Amino acid sequence: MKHILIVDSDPLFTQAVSSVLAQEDFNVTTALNGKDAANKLRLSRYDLLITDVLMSYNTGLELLSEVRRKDRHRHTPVLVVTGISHEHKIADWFKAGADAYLKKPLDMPTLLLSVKQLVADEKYVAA
Amino acid sequence: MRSMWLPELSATPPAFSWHFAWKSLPVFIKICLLIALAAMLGAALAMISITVRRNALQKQEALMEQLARQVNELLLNTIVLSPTPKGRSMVRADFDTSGFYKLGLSVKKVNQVLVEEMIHYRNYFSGTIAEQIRKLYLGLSLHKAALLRLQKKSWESRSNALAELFKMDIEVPRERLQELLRSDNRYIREYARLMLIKFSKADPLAVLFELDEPLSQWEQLEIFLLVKDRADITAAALQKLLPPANSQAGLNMLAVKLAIHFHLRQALPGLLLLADATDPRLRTEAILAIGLLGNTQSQQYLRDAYSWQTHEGRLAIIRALGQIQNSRHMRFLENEFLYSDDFETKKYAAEALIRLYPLSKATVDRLAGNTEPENQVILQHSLDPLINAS
Repeated sequence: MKHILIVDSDPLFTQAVSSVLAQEDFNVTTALNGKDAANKLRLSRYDLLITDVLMSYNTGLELLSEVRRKDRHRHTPVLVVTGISHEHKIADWFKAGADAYLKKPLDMPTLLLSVKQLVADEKYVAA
Repeated sequence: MRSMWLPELSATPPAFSWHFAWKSLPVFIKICLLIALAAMLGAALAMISITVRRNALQKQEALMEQLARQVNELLLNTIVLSPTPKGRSMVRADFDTSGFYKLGLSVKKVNQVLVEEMIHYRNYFSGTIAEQIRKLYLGLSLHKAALLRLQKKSWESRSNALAELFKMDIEVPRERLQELLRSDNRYIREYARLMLIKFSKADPLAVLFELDEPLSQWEQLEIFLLVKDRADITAAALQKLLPPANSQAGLNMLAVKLAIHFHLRQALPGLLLLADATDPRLRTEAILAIGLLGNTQSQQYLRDAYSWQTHEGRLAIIRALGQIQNSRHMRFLENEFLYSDDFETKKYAAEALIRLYPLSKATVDRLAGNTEPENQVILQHSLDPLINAS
């Protein structure tokens, strides 16, 4: 079973997305801020990280750079889900190591499709 | 034996009397004591009242939280996790609404929490979920309560009702909106305008042509989001929001953003006039728009205007030149990066050069190896998105 970490400061969002992903047989863990997520990343291995970029303690971009610095998570795919749609910012996230980006408000079938594609992609199989 | 000349001692001491003690006190002491007593009583009453109110508030908050959790659970099970036929993203209308009625929708607070949670969901989810929540809102007749609140005297009730209907995509009769446009309250006028734009069949910006009050930044953003996916935004409509036809900064700013978004080059004459606007933000946005939309001539105009522009205007020109994907102005950007005395100009020039990748790759590589340490640091910072973002 694929293990996914969802990071977002709003529990309503994390609950809704995690419920849908759990229904699709994913094992889901949630975190409400970057610091909490970083702690969870230290403890477990994940097949996908879904994160917002505007969060307290540790922004999504900082979290992303931390993920990419650690050998353990270097190959973990990262999906950025945020309300920001500024082109320069999106380019920055991709440069920092994001694999995909979806804009809020998001369409659930599109999210599911992206998640399935990201966790199934062979290039993310850790060496 | 007791001697005869000693006074006889009484068996019991004279009783202390509050009444006698009070009577024997001077008047000013009596007044002071009365004031002190009143103050102590007042403080005690205030503390009791605060404690009781706080307790009541905490209880109410706990109840509201519990209610919000219940509502959230219901919405999750009824809308988000409701089974839809495989492979189809259809909108269902046959919800089981009994759970929602059990909450007690006739209670104002329950109604309010439910609507807030529905809007919360619609802020996060689009597509089928958003549409199903709207259907549920209509199914529970919550829109009727909001439409009734539009008739109330309190501006707060009316603006909240209007905001609710706007966020739930419920159309309000046009005549009613026209009335609300004349309201004394700014929020009501703003929401009425947004409603008219949202549900307009054609020419959505028409309501702005006769606008005689400043357009707030919030409203600019909302209007932009409302019209950005429409196909009926014309250059003619934008020209009515730009100089010389219109000199209102808020409308000008909205028109600049829309001109960039829809890539409407016909708006260039108005944009060129805005390159000298007194508002520095408007000037910057107009210059960036000219850089993006302009032809070779207008881009050369920007380059020529560099000498007489303000500091903000110059920085905007550098950014604009970085957005034009040709190498015509690369030498100019390189010179500004190397020889300007101003740190910001150097930084913007470095970022502009990097934005011209891959055209500028050879130039950036050369500069990274051969310039002063300070310039190298600026280039490194501009190349690293993480440092950029912080």
